[in-house]
Formats: sequence, C-alpha cells, structure tokens
Amino acid sequence: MKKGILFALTTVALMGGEIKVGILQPLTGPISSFGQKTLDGIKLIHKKFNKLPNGDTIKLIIVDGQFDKVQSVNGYKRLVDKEKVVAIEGPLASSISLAIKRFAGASKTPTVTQIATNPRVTQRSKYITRACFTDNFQGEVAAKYALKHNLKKAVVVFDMKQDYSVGLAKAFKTAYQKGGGKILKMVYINSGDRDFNAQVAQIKRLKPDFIYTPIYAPEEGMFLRQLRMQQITTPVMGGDGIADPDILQKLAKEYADGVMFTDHFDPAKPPTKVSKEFVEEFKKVYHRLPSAFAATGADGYLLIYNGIKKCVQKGLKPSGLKFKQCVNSQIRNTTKLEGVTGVLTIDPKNGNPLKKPAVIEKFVKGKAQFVELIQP
Amino acid sequence: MEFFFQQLINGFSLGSIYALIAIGYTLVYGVLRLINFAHGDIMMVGVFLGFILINQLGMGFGSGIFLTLLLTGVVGILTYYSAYRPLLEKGAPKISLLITAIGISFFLESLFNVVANLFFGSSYQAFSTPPFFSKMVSVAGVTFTRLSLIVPILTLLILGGILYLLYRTRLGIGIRALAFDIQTVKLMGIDTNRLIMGVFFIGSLLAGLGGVIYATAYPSIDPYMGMLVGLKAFAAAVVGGIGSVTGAVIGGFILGFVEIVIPGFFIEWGGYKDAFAFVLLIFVLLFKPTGIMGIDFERKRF
Amino acid sequence: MAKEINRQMGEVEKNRKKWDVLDFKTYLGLIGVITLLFILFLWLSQNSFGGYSLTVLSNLYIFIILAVSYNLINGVAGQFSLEPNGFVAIGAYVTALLILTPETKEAMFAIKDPLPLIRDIHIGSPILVLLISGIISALVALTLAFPVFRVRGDYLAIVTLGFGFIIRILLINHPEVSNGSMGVDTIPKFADYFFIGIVTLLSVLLVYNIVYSKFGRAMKGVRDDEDALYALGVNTFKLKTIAFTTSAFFEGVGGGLMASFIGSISPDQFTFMLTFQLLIIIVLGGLGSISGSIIGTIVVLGGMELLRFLDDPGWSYGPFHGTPGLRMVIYSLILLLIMLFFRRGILGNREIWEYIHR
Repeated sequence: MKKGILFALTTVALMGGEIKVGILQPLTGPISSFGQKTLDGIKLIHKKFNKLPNGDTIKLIIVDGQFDKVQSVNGYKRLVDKEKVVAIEGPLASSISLAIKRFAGASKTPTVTQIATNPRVTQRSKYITRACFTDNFQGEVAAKYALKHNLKKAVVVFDMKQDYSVGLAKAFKTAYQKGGGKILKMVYINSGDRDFNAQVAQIKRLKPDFIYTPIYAPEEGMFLRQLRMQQITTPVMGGDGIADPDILQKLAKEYADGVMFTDHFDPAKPPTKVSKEFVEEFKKVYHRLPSAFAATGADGYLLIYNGIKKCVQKGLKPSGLKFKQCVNSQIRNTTKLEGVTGVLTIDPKNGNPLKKPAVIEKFVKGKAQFVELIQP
Repeated sequence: MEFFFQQLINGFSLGSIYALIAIGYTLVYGVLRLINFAHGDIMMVGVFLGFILINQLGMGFGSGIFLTLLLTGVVGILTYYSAYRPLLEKGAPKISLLITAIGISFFLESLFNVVANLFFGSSYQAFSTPPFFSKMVSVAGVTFTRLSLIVPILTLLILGGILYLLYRTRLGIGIRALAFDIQTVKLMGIDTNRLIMGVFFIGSLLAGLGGVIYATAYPSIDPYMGMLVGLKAFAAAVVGGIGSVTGAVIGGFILGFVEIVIPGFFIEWGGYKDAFAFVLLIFVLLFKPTGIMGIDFERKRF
Repeated sequence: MAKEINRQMGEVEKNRKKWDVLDFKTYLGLIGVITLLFILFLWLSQNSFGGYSLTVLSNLYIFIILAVSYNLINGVAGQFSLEPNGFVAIGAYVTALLILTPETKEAMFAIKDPLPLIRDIHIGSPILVLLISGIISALVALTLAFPVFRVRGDYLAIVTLGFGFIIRILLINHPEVSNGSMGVDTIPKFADYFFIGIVTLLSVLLVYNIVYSKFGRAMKGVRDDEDALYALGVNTFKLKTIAFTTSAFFEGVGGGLMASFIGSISPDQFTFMLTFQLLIIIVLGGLGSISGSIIGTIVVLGGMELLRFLDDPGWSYGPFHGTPGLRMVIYSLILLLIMLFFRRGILGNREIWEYIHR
C-alpha cells in the first residue's frame, strides 16, 4: 500500500499536481441559501488564488453537509479519509462545527469555519480555527446598542434547538444585564416551528422596549410577520443568523422593515484592497453584491490558501500528516493577512481572529442598509 | 378575554386545516382499511404545485388554486393507480401496503426536495398569497386575519358537501358500500377501481386545499412539511372516530384548538405543541378506541 | 382420496423428522462454525484493516443489530412498527448519561444545569450500561404496547411514528436531562471495533434463537393468521408485546453502542430517516429472515455509499447530472420498486442455508 502511494505521489508531483481542499457547507436544507452564498464567495476567490509556488493547483472538493450533524460528520470523514484533503473549510453552523470538532483533532486536519460564532467551537481544540467574531462579541454589540438607545427592558426570543441561538442569547443576556438592562423574559421557539402566536401574545403582555432574536432567518421571517401583524412596533434586532435579506423579504415582506441585525460585512464598505477587488469581481460575475456569507467564505479560503502556500514554500511535500500539521500551525499563526471582511490575525491560543469588527445593519425595503461599524 | 377569543379563532383555523386533511385519511381508511402515510405528503405536493403555478409561473390566484386542487387530486389518483392497486390485486399482505405508503411518502418528499433545490435554489420557499387574506379584521377588540375567519366556515361547508355526496348521490352510495364490504361490491359487477379513484381524488383535493390554506397562513414551505401535519391529521381522524367524516372534522377542530390555546395560556407548554396530537391519540386508544363518533366498523360506515 | 392424504402426511412426517435431526446437528455445527469464523475475522481485521475500514465495519455491525431486531417485530411477528429511531435514541441517551462522570456532565450541560439525579448517576461498566439501556428501552416499549396492541395492531405504525417525534420533543425540551439540542458529547469510546463485533455476534445469536424457538414460531403464527391463533386460545397480545419489547431491547443496546462509537449524540440524529433506512434494509433482505437482514444491511449501506455520486453536481451521464438530494429520490424509488416487484426481498423469509440445503 505504501509503495502505491509513493508511486502516485511521484507521478502527481511530476505532473504539477493537485492539492485537495475540502469544502463542507450546507447546500440543501433550511439554511441552504447561506451555504450557497458562501460557496459563491469561495469559488470566486478560488479562481483568483489557486496556484502555488511549486506549480501545484488547489482543487476544491465540495460536500453538502445538509445542516445535518450525521451527514456532516460523514462528509467530513469522507473528505479526510477518502479524498485525503489537506484542509477543510466549514462547517457553517455552530452546531455542526461542534459535532465535527473531535474528528478534526483526531485526524489532525486543519479546519477553518468561516462563520460559526459559538465560542465553544474553538475551545480546547487545536485544529479548528475560525475566520469571524464570536457570539460573545456579537451579543455584546447588540446589548450595547440597545442600552445606548435607552432600551432597557428586553425580551429575548431564542431557538432551543440551535447551539448558535442558545449561545448568542446567553451572551446577549450577560452583556445586557451587566450594562444595567433588564431581561423581562427568555422566550423560546423550536426551529421548524411556523406558528409563534403564543410567543407573540406573551410579548404583547410583557411590553418590552427591545426584542432580541438570535435565531435563523426562516424562523425570523415568520416571527416578524406574526409580530407585526399584531401591530407590535417594538424594535427587533437579531444576529448574523437572520442576515439574509432574500429570505426576510420573501417571508415577511413589508413586515420585516426596520429589523436590525449584526453581521460580518457590508459590501458598500469594503475594508481592505482585497475587499474592494472582491466586491468588484463578484458584481461582474454574479450581477449582485456579495453577502457576508460570500465574504466570510472567501476569508476562510484565504486563511487555508495562505497556510498551504507557506508550507509549500518551506519545501514540504504537499500531503500527509506532517503537511497538515504545518498548514494548521500556519493558519493558527496567521498575521495581518488581508482578507475580504478585514485584516485577519489569528490568536494562536484560541483560534479566533483578533480585533474583528461587526457591522450593524437595518433591513429597509428589501435590502440591508449600513448603520454602524463596531470595533471590539 | 379577547385573548381567548383570538386564540379560539386561530385554533379553529388551524383545526380546519387538520380537518380537511383528516377527511382524506378517514375516507381512504374506510374504503381500503389502509393508513395512507403518503396523504400528508399529498398536501405538500398541493402546496408546491400552487407555489409553482402561482408564485413561479405567475398564474392568477383563483385559477391557480383551482388548477392546483385538480392536479393534487390527480396526483392522489396516481399514487393509488401505480402503487396501491397493483399490490391489492396481487393480494399482498397489509404490511406491504403500509411499507409502500411510507415509500411513496419518502419519494414525494425527496422528489420535491430536488425540484425545489434544482429549480428554485433552496428547499425552503415562500408561498405568496394575495394580501386580501392577511388583512386584519377587528371585532370587539379581537384582531385576526380574514383568512382565519373564512377557513372554518369554508370547512364546515365542505363537510356538508361531503356528507351530501356520501348520502345523497350514487357515488356516495358506492363509496359507503365499498367501506362496508368491498368483496360484495366487486361481485355485483361494480367497478370498484373507479370508486376508489374517486375517493382518492376527493381526499387528495381536500388535502391540497388544506395545504394551500396552511401555506397562506404560514408562508414558509418546504418538502418535509407534510409529514408532521399528516401525522397529526391522522391522530385527529382517530380521535374523531376513524371512518367518520364528521368525526374527522371534529377531531381536527379539537386538535387545532388544543395546539393553539394551551400554549397561548401556558407558554411553557409551547415546546410540546407537536406532542398534543400524540397524547390525544394514546388517550383515545386507551379509553375510547372508536373515537368520538364511535364508528363500529361492523355496522356503520362514514 | 383419504389414502392419498395419509400417504402425503406420512411423507411430511418423514421429512420433518429428518429435518429435525439434521436441524439439531446442523444447528450446532453451523452456529459454532459461523461464530468461530466471525471471531477470527474480527481479530484479523482489527489488526490489518485501516482506521477508515474499521469505522465502516463498526457502523455496519451496529446496523446489523438494529436491522435484525427490527425484523423481529416487523418481519417475524408481522406487526408494522416504525419504532427504531425512538428506542435507539433512548438507548443512546441512557448509555451516554450513565457512562459519563458527574464532573463531565456538570461541565458539559450548557443550557440548563443537569438534574442532580442525572448528574450523579454513574455506572462505569460498559456492559452493565448497555444492558440497562436495553432494559429501559424495553420498559418504554411495554408501556407503549398496552394501549396499542389491546386495540388494533393497525395503529402501531402511527403510534410508533408519533413516539419517535415525541422522544425528540422531550429530549429537546428538557435540557436539564438531556442538554437539549446541544446533545451529549465527549462520550468515552468503550465500544471499539472488537467490542462492537462481539456484541453484534451475541445479539444476532440471541435473536436467532428467539426466532427459531417456540416463541418465534408462535410469533410467525400471529403474523400469518392471528385470528386462527386467537381462536385456538393463544394469547396473541402477549406474543406481540414480547416481540415488540425484545425489539426495543436490542435497539436500545444498539443505540448505546452508537453513542459510544460516534462519541456525541443529539436529538436530530434519531429522526425518521433512521427508521426508514432500517425498513428498506429488512424489506430488501426479506422480512422474517435473519440472514436476510444481515445481507440487507450490507447491500443497503454499501449501496448508499455507492449511490453518493448522485448527489454530486459534478457527475453527469448524458443529459442527467447529479444534484443534491437526488440520492434519496432514487433510494425511495428503489424501495417502491422492491415493494411492487420484489416484495419477498432477497431471501424471502428463509435463512440463507435453507436455500443451500435444498
């Protein structure tokens, strides 16, 4: 078996071969639009950055995780064991990232989640890195915004079924209470629910001046619709999980107007040169502006590409355990890499990017509008 | 107090949806003694057909719904014709029919999953209806949508229509005879197939109607929406008394009421909403297996 | 005419006696040989197969346990049930919660703190834990069986389908017991390849013994003609309940193995999809056939892997190309085709050696 590998490698090396990078994203299922948008960004940036100094090219192996833990774990294992990728970008959702965590460590495969925000994802694991801010920060941004605008009584509507939602709700609660805000009630829903009349009725009775909804877009759409239909005008803010104007528009239409959310990127305000080029390219190819999903997708890829490049430059053979470990360490030690959502420097101690800003956006007439940029 | 009335109306509205689907279940069970697992997915097919015709192809709402209902009925007939009928004619054991029903259910779900993803970009879509139905109406401090008012009344009218069909028309006599003794009907030279196809057509059409109403109230649709709703509708049919059309409607209303009103007053129970149907089912099986209408299969039908 | 019938009955008697004698010796011999061969295989493969292959095989073994026990209620007793995902979930959670230490649980429960009972209960022995998982599943099955079998076996399917939903709802809405949707992770891997193989072997042997015992024959009687059996004074309710409870037991054990094997469990791993897969397996293998279920597992799990290309947009053949979700469409189509044309499955309701013997 070893002889066969050696032979194959030699042939591949002589041909100016391929280095495989796995892409594990939810391409079907409730958040498939998130995954598809991310993939658009990855494919675009890959077209530009796929050649390596030793002549090799990076090949993307795309697997649909389906926003399902079992499918994603199987997909992850297949990428590692069968396709023998040197790194994986994904998963997208926090819950899925938590599920594959132990396999990343066991197989020592550098894994970069581009947008999973639950802090537990990178805790106690050397092989998962993320390209975005964590929910601790995101929750804080929302809390501070509410308090700044004197909205001191809040109701939090969170999704019991999602790690992302539970984590972000907790982060908001901590920051909000610390700043003097009062949480009237933590109301919960289950993803897949469509009827939120009970929750809306409760909110009507509690009369908060701020509603925080750290849930995903499909539920947010239905919730907003039912909330506004009851003529409740309380300001609503969510996290990056609702940051899909298409879904909000389709489900809630005019009822979604005014909802705010925290996000990773606003295409109207590209922070770096790479950003500007990316937005231009994206407009040319896809005829629309890139979303935060596409932008973070690109950044996740850039982290991996950068890591692979550095290890190839060191002269390492681009496959096998040693190479993966090198790539991982390079990713973990990334310093001042120009990305699409900002300049990326990873804290090697915890795998999170340092100083990642958040944007606050408002949904107006079907589109997301920039409100504020918050630096950590 | 207004709150209670509000929830009451919402409850009956939701209950009507369950009722319409439950009628289909009870008709098929009465005639073939088969729990048609695929029935809930027929509802989903109706919703997606409506989605394609109205939201994607731009058909007018009225004609779109009309065509959707017809097509859904046809899909129902197709499932009978291609799968159940061949097995029945071969004399297959009951378990084969049930497994086939599950197979059809799964097939429809995965088919429309692929269709939605391939042609419309994602499994989850938004069903758009004219704002006429969503307009809020206020009566004595209670606000609800026009839809929630129209639907229960419509359902009761349909119930009346079905009962008329069953007791005052030839088709109805045929269907009731089938439910009583299918062998004898065959022996008398009546084409049971056409009768059964009629049953499937009506049941599926009503399921499609229930689905479209559901999608109007809750615009987020996906290929797997039928399974849970179908399951609950069947529970409703059993609670009301399987084999009785009136029972199906009563059971549907009860379930809708329970699902909306209980979480409305006890919000902590919100997470258990989906469990109520099952609890009701077990309850009925334990204490009154023939359901509220108490149909004894050896004597009466429908 | 009477002479003819008598003659034929004599033949049947003669053949049956021959078969019985043969049966005993064959029985011991076959079972013994198979057991030894399998243990040998386990030992050899453990040392020479790569990690990925062992993972695939371990998964296969667990599914064999599930398939063989699911076949007991559906194929042997002929009662259409959709229970596996529920009981597997129960087994998995019981195992996970028992085997983890109180400290781990305290740290891991993230939505709400664990109930003191849940946190403090700890049993270190994997074998004991698996047994308890099975027993608890069986007890739950017992409570379900009462309302259902008393009335109408027809409703078993709907009730078990609903039961599967309810279990998930309970797991999600009681984070103080189950850590809700976050699930339970860092489950120690006591179930290594060899352990799983042995448990599988034992389970299959046990189920085989049940199926080919007087209980098994009675259960088949319930399947074939319950009214006749009932008229003869047999307690069919008891038989159906035993079949259902036994199925649940082994499904619980399988669930426990799964928990340790995968290492982390959460409510959405135990959806109807699991039951559906097992259903295809036992139908394809042949309802009522143990060896059929084993073969069915290999074919279906292998087939699912092989058919994976259908989901890949990169694949194309003429005008057709892969698209996400296509695999499930073909999968369910295959089940429908099997039901229409190939209802008996690969082995019908006999075992593989019965065919060879002819």
